[in-house]
Amino acid sequence: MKKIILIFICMIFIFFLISKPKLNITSSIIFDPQSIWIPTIATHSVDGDVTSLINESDDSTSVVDNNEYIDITLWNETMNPSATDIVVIFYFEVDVTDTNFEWHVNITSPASLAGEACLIDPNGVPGNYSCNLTAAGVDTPDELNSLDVRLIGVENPDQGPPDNGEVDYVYLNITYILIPYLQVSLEEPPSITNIPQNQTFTVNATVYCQNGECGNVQGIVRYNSTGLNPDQAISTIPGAEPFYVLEQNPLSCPTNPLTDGEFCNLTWRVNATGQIGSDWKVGVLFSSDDPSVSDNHTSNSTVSITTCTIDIDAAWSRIDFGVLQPGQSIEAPGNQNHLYNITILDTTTCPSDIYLMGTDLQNGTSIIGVGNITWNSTQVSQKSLSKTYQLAGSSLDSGTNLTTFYWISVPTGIPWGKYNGTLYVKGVQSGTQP
Amino acid sequence: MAHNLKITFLIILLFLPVSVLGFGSTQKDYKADIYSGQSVEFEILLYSLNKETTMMFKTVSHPEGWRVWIIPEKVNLPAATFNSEPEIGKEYLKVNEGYVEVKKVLVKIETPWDTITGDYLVRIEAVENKQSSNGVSAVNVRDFNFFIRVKGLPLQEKTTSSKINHTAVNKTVLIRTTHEKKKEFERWWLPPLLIIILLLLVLFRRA
Repeated sequence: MKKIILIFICMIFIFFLISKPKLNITSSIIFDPQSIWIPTIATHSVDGDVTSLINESDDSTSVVDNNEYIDITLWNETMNPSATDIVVIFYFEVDVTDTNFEWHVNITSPASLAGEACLIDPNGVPGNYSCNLTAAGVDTPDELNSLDVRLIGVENPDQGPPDNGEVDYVYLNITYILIPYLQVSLEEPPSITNIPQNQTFTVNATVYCQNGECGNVQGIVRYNSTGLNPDQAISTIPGAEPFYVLEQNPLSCPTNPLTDGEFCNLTWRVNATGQIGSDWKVGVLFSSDDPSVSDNHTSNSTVSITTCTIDIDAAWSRIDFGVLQPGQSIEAPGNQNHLYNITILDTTTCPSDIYLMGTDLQNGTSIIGVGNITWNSTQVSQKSLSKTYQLAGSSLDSGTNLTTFYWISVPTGIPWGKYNGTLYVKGVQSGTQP
Repeated sequence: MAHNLKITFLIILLFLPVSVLGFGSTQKDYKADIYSGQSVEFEILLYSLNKETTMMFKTVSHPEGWRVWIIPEKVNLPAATFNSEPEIGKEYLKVNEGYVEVKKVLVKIETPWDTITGDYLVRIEAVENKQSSNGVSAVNVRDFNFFIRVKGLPLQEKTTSSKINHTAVNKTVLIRTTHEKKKEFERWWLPPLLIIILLLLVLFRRA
């Protein structure tokens, strides 16, 4: 009784083994039952190029004498790198053959599989003969794509003339399976990117469906929360650190389900809220609802979160008061046209303060003190320029124009002439001392 | 007619505002915690949109006895444009809706062994390299401040500190990765095996 129960239990175990869950490989797989490859380079050991002779199934043949051979070193096809379950059969048609003539099918490349794959003895009967190269080890796309075959004719035993065979049509018959996969790429951000804190950047990724039907595909933008590579979806909660997305995450391809060769491009706007000085890896993981299609992750970009960007611009390079006469008071020539604009460019990412400072004006050994230059950001009043920074505008948002105006009072007792000096324009993050 | 058009075009060109003063800047980081005797490195990122300019860097102030290196001290900024197709390996800054390639200036700060615990400031200034001529030349200036907190006792061994690493490393996040799913798939036989073992145990106990 105990034995019966034991056998019963074993049967249950075997049942589980047989009914092991399998990957759902259904209609999305491309099964190619017959792919015929023909040689494009075939060289006879004595006659040289015989490619055209062995590619035709007519009376054109290549005659192989005892111990001569044909090297086939190139085929008219290549195998898809993602192909699996490859079976390669080498076929050759023999038109006329000596009774004692036998054929050796050798693999000469790849080197790891080099050696005799088959010995075929037609016993003098013309016909189509085959050699299973997969049995000799050719079962990967790389091996198949580097496959070279040497077909050697041998009269065994050698009984003298006639001692040859005629080879007509040589080809490979290949079967394989193509499993669809997601080919992915990260378009944005660039591989090394700096983002000022609290600024938004774009993550843009593309997925191509290859080798069949890919089902419904979605992408999820991720960052490295705990390790070196992205492992955590970027939050959709505003204010989350170090990033949050303004869109949904994940996003589905709008043209789902993706068919063979179809692509989809997904874009997220991401706000960089992390601490200044922090570095992150960002990438996109694509997946399908078809379990036979594997997930695929894009390459990653390194995103560094920086201080705010300050970018200050002006359309003028100097204030030319011209030739100065002692005792005169003159206005800078650009005042009337509001020439002396200082612009907080819209590339600036935080409110900024503008400070001005000057130097004395010089003409040889003659000097006009910097305090003789007056300035303001309105034309109503004037204040003296100094050798320390003075605030010209504060909390200026990006895109703001600060118009400045300048005057000079030339002291008496100095020679007339052109005087040169420098006006320093310093932009700082609002609230920072210059 | 054509001649008049040419003159008009030339006049328009002459009066178009041309960007002659300006560059963009940001800092990769601005603060660090180190031990006395350690050194720390910072990076300043620079660009100049649509025009070429040269900047001269100098140290404005630093605590006594500290050493500051700026590499390089003179930086030529080529006229940069927004990159529609950024190149792999080059470093970019997000500027508005595009990316601009940046030039880097390295600031290395070395503290003496006897630095007292506390907060310190190192100030760097970048000044546009321009000659004073024909009146008052307008020159663009930018400050870069670095806040260094020196903590604890000096270390026995002189080392270079990296900036504060803000990257989170200790967060526990449960994510079912593809790899884990695969492992789960590979362990499909565990439940039936456990059931069998249990049945056998029950059976042998009864016997």
